[in-house]
Amino acid sequence: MNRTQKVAVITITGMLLTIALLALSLIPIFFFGWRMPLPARVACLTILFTVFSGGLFFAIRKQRKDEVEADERDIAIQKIAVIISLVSILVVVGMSLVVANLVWGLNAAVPLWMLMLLFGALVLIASVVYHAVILVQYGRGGSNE
Amino acid sequence: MSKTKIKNNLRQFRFENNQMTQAELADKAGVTRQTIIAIEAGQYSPSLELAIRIARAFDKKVDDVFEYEQ
Repeated sequence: MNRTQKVAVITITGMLLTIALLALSLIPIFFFGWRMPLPARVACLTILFTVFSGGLFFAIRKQRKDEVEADERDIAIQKIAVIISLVSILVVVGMSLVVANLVWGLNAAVPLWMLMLLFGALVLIASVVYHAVILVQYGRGGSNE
Repeated sequence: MSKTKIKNNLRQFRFENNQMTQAELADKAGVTRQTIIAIEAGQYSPSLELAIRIARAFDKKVDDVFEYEQ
């Protein structure tokens, strides 16, 4: 597994953990009006920080001085991943608009925090898609054809 | 992923060159070992520049190492 793959695995793990923790903290607020206590929130942030920083440190550090960080195949794979993650952003925004239209109608107004949530979701989804596409391409050979 | 139309003799030349490992060839060509594995397996077509660097690692011409399947 090269450096790009290691970073992808760690980022996906971290992002999925973030999504799970966000769901754990947001769902009770929306449905039960219950807010996670401060120590639990601090514990969640500590777990996320440890996974990201620890994992990335081990993935990014060079094992040899003259180790090649990325070559033409890595760059080609990353380019395709960028395109697909951008397409995923368009799809998510489009689907969000369709759902909002169906639920609230064309003339409804949405609060600003909802746009912020959408933005956060887009960042998470685009990042997960980007790194998932990288892993899939490495698994399939990463052909440039 | 479908295999490329570029055939190669990497494995043969590696063994002819003192059983050069994929890692050693990767170092000489300036790429990662995964890329050499993918090229050798016919899953990735290298750029012209990389093909030349690989051929030079064996002291061969590009045509000797790579061939296009008609």
